[in-house]
Amino acid sequence: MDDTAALVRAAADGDAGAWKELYHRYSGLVWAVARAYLPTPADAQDVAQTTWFRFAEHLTRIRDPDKTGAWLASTARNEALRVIRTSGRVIPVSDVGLMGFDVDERSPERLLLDAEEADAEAERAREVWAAFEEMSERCRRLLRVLIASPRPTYQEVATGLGIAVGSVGPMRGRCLKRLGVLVARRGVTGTSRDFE
Amino acid sequence: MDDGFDLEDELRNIAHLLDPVPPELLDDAMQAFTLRTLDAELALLEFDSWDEEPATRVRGPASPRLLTFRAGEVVVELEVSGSRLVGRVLPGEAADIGVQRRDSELRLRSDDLGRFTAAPLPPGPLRLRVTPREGGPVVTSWIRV
Repeated sequence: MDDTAALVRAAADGDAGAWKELYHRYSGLVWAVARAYLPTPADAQDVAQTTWFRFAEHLTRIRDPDKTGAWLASTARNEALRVIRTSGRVIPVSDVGLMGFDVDERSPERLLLDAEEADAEAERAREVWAAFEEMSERCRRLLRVLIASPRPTYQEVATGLGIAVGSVGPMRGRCLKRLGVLVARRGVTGTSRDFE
Repeated sequence: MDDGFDLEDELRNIAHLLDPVPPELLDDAMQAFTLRTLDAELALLEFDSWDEEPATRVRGPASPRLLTFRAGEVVVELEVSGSRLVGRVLPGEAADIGVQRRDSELRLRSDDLGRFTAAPLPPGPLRLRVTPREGGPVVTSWIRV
């Protein structure tokens, strides 16, 4: 049930709600492609901003609205490559601060339990992310785009990375397996399901 | 058989926490929608010197960025150096130019050869709206300066 084409047509006719829906559908993908290439969040934000401006001006000119996601992924990729080509700076990914977990009007005991649980979850999240950042550039890029939310199609992933669509599945398998090994090597406890 | 879906989902959740889409981008996107052009022809970017430069070259005031846009017979050439913009519209003649940014528009008029300058330019998206003496208005594709 792909109604993207209908949303594109509605937005082209001036429906701001349809445009917002398109944004929510693809903002994760655009951001993920930009971040796959650019370690500096400010650069990625510039790229994402430019991508949305380009998309707005192309609304009425998109030849194949069903491929909107691929168009956005490709535009974000081109803009990101433009930044890389001209900046001459590729800075290693910095430590990303972990966000606080909100706790509120619960009993002190409950709060303590929750805090311990949250600590364990946060610890695992940090370790998994560190393992992810340790991976080869190929795997990091592929997984960063793949884990956009909502999950992109393999075609969108392939376009965002300039690779053949047939290679996405096999690469995904290899990279996730490798990530699992790296996570295990870090001696992290807990399973994926513990993290919510 | 484990296809890695648990790990993939977990990584997706972590990315959502540690590397989320910046919330300001929604405002940018809504603004882009508001500013979309309804009444002018789009002049597409045909050349951008940033696409040509080798990776080793560092972007800076020493190397101005050259851009060419075209819509039919109308060509817009731009040179961006630092926060200064020098441009030329072809065919070369006096034309009304709007330098459009996110929140503002600087209106100016090119000289008889189609030349114009604008400065200073704060960073951000930029496009030009050109109204030639003959024919309808043209807007360039957005670029980022």
